[in-house]
Amino acid sequence: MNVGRRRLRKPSAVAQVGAIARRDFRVQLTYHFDLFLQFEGVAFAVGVALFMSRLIPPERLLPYTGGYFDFALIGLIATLLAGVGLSTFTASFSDAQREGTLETLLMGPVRSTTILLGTLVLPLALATTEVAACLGIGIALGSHLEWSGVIVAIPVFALLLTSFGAIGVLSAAILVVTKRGNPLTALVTQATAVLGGAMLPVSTLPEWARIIAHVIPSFYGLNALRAALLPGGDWSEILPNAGVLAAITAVLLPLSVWCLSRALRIARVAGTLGTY
Amino acid sequence: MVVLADVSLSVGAGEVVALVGPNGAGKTTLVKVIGGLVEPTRGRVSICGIDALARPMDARSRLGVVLAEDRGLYWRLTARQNLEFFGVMSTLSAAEARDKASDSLRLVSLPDDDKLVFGYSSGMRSRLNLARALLAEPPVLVLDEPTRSLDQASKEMLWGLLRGLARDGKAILVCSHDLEGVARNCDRLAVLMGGRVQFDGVLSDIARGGETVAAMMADLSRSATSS
Repeated sequence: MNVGRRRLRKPSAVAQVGAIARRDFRVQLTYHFDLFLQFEGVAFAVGVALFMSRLIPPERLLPYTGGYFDFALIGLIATLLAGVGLSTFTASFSDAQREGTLETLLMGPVRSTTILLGTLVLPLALATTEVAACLGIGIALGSHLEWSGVIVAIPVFALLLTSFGAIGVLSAAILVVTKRGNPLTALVTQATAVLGGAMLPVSTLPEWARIIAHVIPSFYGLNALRAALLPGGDWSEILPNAGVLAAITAVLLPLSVWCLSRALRIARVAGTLGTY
Repeated sequence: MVVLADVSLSVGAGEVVALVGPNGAGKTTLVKVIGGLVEPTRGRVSICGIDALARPMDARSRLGVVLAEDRGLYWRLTARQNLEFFGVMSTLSAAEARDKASDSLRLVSLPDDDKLVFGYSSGMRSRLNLARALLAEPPVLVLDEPTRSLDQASKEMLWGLLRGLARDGKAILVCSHDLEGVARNCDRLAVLMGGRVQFDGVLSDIARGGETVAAMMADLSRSATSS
């Protein structure tokens, strides 16, 4: 090996993101059963939604139009994205702290934002496949979604994922400092499923719960998605909801990245970056 | 609590400097300060003339660090996959990392096979960590207890490798309890006790004075205790 001086060049953030994604893919390939379980979980959830649609009459869904199956299918997709955004970063930072790889990574010329972006690639690819599987199974079981609304729905999905991702980064920041205990992930996942309107119309909730729903990003995302994908929706419902979601995301995202960089700094000063 | 105080230490190009001291002296903390994992409350770390606190990315591009633990690797990947990953995370392109991975593995006598790091012994993981640090050919190397889990042959291989790297102009700082290896292979010795550098001198001068490193450390330890 030539150990002489090599001309140093700036590390490429794009190449680093690719390397992180390739690493995660290679690691994931060694866990065959986990992959199977993820897709089995999607099929099971769609089946449950179909069963529930026979119990819940369409008039209970007002102001939404269409049947419960279509309503729940959109909620399921949002929940899948919530899972990716909320748990990817916490799981990644927690694993890296435990394995000692966080220290190895941070001793190199890599930015924390590069690590975040790279970490998101594989879970996002898997979630996209799961969403496609969810829709495919839905169609096979008789879903009546408005396919013309898909083009409008895609940016709303992206916004929703980004808002969940921002909360996930906040969670990771807390974990970098506290090492254990993740107050945000479980709370937001449950709030999304119940109060945010993923599986039940918010209109069916008691008044206090309806008020809380208005501070949950998924409430706006789901309203916009259902206006785009359920029959009878229009721009007057899509735009205001997507606008509020975009505003929340615009505040949450830089705040969460700033919090993570502060958390890493606190851990560096305390010398606890590699402890868990 | 003060872990390190008034530590001033420099390592020149082509030099192997040993940092020795009893457990808890602050050696690992100093390595982590140099590696950017621990931020000092005051002071300066300079790597190839670059202020590592002000320009951490530039400084880290020129630095290879091996920590004392045999963690820090992806156990569900092969040795080659680990090196390819960490190569790109330093300053190499994917193609360069692929090419250099073979050489690095050969250099530390590890097989280039499909075995996951999970199945490696502690010594093999130590050698892989060394290969990782060498991969991008940084001009500065900092190694914390690199001989800890190694058998005698691997220790000889490691010291020989470090001597060769120093001849090629690398600046190398080694924390070690392997005093015999230090005495035979290092140019300079710094002794850290209680978070302070108690001695910093050329090893050949110690040998000329008829003293051994172990005896000198015992003397330093006795005087530190009595004061």
